[in-house]
Amino acid sequence: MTTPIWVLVPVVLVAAGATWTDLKTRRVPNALTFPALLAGIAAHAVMQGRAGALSAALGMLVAGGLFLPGWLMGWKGAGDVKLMAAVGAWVGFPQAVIAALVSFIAGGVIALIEAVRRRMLKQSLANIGMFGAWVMSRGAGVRPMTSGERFPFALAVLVGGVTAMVWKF
Amino acid sequence: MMNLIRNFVRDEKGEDLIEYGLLAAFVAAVATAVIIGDPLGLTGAIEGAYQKAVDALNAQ
Repeated sequence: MTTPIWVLVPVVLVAAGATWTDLKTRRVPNALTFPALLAGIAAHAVMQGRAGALSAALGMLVAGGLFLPGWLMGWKGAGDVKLMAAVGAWVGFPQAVIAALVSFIAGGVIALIEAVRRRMLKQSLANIGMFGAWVMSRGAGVRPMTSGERFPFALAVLVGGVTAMVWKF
Repeated sequence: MMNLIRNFVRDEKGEDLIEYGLLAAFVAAVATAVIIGDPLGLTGAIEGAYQKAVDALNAQ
């Protein structure tokens, strides 16, 4: 089954718009994410009835839910979580799972490029190792420091959203 | 809890920590491999349960 045009166009427009603002300002505005999220659920409800609304709501919860722990830990911007939830609503369930997982992987590629560009790959991997050891010790002692270096993530959501519309379960 | 929700709504940041980006990508790559391989047949079970919910909604 191919992705309908009424899903494809909004996903690309929303994620591309978010990528543009993220690269320019390091922000993904609520003025983009909240309307996109509501429109995604409404569009599915109108086009596919109750089953569509269920698909969009589940997509939003699963995609947003996978991103939420990162925000709770203080490692991820909430703009990205809301963007992922909106894209999850548009692509629906189960495609939202693919959208979120591929976004994470694409984000890793961007993080890798940024780490190399900023000459901090070794330090980042060491920080991850120390964090892993801290988790294995069940949080004994002080939580290890991170570099504090951040990278814009919305482009990864664009990649994840587009992949979810091409690669079907 | 209300503060947490308020902070979440107000926060428009679009940046991730580099360490988190690397770690989350690794975990996601493993999860994707498990979904593709599906050794426990979980994907089929979840899809079956979801399809039942959709059928029930459509039957109403």
